[in-house]
Amino acid sequence: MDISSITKFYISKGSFREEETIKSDNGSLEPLAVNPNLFHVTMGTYAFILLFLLSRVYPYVFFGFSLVSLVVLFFDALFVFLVFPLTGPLFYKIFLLAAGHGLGFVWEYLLAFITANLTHYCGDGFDCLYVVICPFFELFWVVSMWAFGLSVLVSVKRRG
Amino acid sequence: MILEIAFVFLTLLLALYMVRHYVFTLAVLYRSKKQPPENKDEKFEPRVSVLIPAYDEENVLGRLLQRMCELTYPKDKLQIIVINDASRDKTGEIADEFAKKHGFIKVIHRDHVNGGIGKPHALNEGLAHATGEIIYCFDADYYPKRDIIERFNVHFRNPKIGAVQGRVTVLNEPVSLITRLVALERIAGYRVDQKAREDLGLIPQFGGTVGGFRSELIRALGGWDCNILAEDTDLTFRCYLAGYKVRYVNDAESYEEAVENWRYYWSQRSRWAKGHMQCAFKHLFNFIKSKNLRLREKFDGLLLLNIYFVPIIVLLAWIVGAALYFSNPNFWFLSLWALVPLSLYSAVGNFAPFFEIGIGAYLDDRSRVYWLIPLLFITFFINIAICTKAFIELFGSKLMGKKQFRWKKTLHNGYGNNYMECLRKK
Repeated sequence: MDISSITKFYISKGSFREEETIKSDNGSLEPLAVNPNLFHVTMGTYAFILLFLLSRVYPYVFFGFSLVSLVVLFFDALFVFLVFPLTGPLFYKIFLLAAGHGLGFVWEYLLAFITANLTHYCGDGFDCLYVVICPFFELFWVVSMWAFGLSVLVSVKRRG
Repeated sequence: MILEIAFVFLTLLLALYMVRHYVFTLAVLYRSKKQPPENKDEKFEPRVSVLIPAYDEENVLGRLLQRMCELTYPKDKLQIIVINDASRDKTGEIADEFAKKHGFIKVIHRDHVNGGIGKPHALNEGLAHATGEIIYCFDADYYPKRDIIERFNVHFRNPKIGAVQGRVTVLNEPVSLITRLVALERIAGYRVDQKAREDLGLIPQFGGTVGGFRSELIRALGGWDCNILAEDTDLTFRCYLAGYKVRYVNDAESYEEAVENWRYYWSQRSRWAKGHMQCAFKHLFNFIKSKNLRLREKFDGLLLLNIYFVPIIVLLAWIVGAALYFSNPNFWFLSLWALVPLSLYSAVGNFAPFFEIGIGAYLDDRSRVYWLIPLLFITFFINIAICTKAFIELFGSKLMGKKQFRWKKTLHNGYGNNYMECLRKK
């Protein structure tokens, strides 16, 4: 693009009007804080406690206990204290929490199952590889599920 | 035993950063404050100078200068200084053309002997010509709100405020995956991180652009340090050490053009990482000893100064943890090993965890960006590599007695111009 076309493009358009330029989709305007829905937090906390108690039973069902239940409980806590206070139906939130919790255990179970089988066929090297990269695997499902939950709530909020 | 102690220490450090991000997120979500009353009503219109360093910016400079002409601030109190830093393209000619038409625009042409060696050099040259009481900086690819100067100026009524910083959002977000990911990082970095530090009375940071300083302060500090690659962070900490505060102004917004390919991303982040680490070495002990700062400011400042070491800590914790796991997997260790993935979240993306980004997007009502959040693992791994390499290079240069690093310019191709029409249509 040469100079004349640049200046022609910008100068010939005249002044932008402020109300038409920077608006809300990229954030902006007044900073806003959210009024936390404490009732939902309370209900979420009950659900969290219930899931925590259930997690004491899980170790006897699934193997790979300590890592699994701690990460899942971290997900639960994060979900309850960051997502439950936001605008949105309680039913959605509890459903998403339970779904995330369930997904976490299924994910871990499947990973452990696959690892055990691959270790059996491929040798101990695969087990080592799994141990090294397992923190990353944990990251992946937690982030995805949490982001999905929040996107549902934002969609509900936007629909009013 | 040494490995075990090291692992516990590294894990606790990671957990500390994770808690910090969690506190920031909660603070912004539930405690966000409006700006203090000094920013309202009465006019405060000192003479201001705006420095625009430009090196090969022909694709974007015209857009910014046109915007400068549209600012609502009285033109008789406004001085725009374009520093053409030995550009090889038509940057100088574009600036000259605007200067011919508008008396408040001044152009400084740096020659190829002294110019083109880095932004701080150009800014110092601009500072020598600036006559304003307040000095603002804008990069050439930025596009601010029309009343951004007024939004900033009111905060300088408070004599303790030495600098202000506005919010940056990405203009060319839809261009590619990387611009989208950078846009997410910007949401977390400004809407959540900077805002939380402002609200909690901690250490908001001057980001080098979309912000300004008191002229007398920056001159007293000796201008920009040309030996530091993150001259903005360096100036931030010198400002705090001098007893002034930096204020983050969330509604003083400006668009920017984010890097559009991984090569530029790597180059830009490497510069930031090295610069930040240089600042950590330079300011760490002075910051701890400073009598101008409260305890919580010192604590936050220390965490901020060391933020670019976090990806290295993640890598070390990962390596040490895996080694320990195979040598001595007992129960307490298994529990700590579980803390590693939890703590990894504190370093996802550009040091903003996924929940911080998610809440920032929620506050901005962005419903279609959530699918990108899991993809931040890409930048997470890249940042581990960038920071580790930067640290090794910095350490090597200290050993070799080498002082200066070459400033690598981020090129802007002006694709953001395509989105200007969209902005007008909103």
